[in-house]
Amino acid sequence: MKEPVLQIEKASKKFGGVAAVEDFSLNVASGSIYALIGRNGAGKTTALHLMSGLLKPDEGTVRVLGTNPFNAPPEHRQRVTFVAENQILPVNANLGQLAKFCAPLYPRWDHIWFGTMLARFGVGLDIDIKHLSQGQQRQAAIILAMAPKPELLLLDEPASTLDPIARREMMELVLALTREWECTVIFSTHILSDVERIASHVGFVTNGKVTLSSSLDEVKENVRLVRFNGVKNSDNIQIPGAIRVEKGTNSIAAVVRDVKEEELLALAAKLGASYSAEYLPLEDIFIEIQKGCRV
Amino acid sequence: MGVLLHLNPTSGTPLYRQLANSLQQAIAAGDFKPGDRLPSVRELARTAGVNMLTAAKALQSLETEGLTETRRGVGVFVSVRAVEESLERKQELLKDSASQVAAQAVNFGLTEGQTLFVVLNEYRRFQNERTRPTN
Repeated sequence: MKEPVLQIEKASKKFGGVAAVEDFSLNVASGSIYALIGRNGAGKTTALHLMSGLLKPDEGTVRVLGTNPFNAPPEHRQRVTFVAENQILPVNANLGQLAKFCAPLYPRWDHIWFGTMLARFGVGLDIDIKHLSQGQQRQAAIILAMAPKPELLLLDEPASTLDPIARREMMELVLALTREWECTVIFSTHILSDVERIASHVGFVTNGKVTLSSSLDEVKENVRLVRFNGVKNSDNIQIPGAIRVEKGTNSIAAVVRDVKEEELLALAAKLGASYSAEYLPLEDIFIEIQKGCRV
Repeated sequence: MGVLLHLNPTSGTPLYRQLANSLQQAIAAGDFKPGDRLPSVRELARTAGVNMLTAAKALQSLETEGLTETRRGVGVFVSVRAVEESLERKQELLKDSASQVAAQAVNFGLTEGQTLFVVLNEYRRFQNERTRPTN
């Protein structure tokens, strides 16, 4: 079993006395496309900055590819690339020039991949960056971060401010990358329909902590909306695993988590009620779990 | 795959399951015959627009259900068994849409006969469109 690409153990980081992340722990397996999901201010960006070695944690440890990224040698930095939210590229340069500047720093720089991807997404090599659209600039930044063939690619809100087509193209880029070579991608976002399209794993970040981390399939199979119809007296009935319950005159609906189907079917039988279950989109799941987390 | 594939990432069914069902349908419809090679994980991921883990899981589930067999270093192939059990499998695949129809019919309070009337009409309509000579 391969070593996790990322291991963060109980990390905390304060800014001016306010904890951005606290008791933050996370493991990310090699080859996964991991989506960090959370509200604005939950700590996603701080977590990514810890991962990229831009920040040092006040407490706890961060290990990327087995190394502490904060004082890592250049060889390490060649294996991990990072695109910040709203990454700014030099506006008076063009991508050909930027590539010339960056390539010597990375032994695995792939000129052909770089050129092919730019061409595929219609981003010109010799057009000044200031003349590219926002979507194209974002694509360019991501393609620049991919050209070194990193083992780990970190993206902070790569899809924010992008239109639906640009977002779809960006996702295709990420998927193409993972088909091409063994790369782990960690990205933060709050566009959850995008996550459902490409992520293999998700982590929910709430108030500086990771409150859930698992494969996407597991989360979606685990949290569901169940209904019991034809319940005679709903007053004192406890639904196992319920995060939220709504009781009608003779029906009960509940969002449940971590509970076996058999238990719920047994309850339905006991109540003499009919039972149905449906799965929820990730966005709804996130909202339900967030509501449950609020103190 | 020669089939217009539409996956719905936000629906409750996991993506790998949707993809596996789509491949099952293609096999049942004869788009892939016994002995035909299925797309590799990489090819499938590319054409379906999913990550490699999802593509691998989809192919793995077909293997688990005995529809395909893997020849190491060569590829994944449709097994003969797949086509023999075709009728059962086709009916199994039809169940999903059928249960939606049945649930709605029961909610509306339709009788069995009234429900079958609707289903049969639709069946005949599609049947006629298929056999109509094309110009």
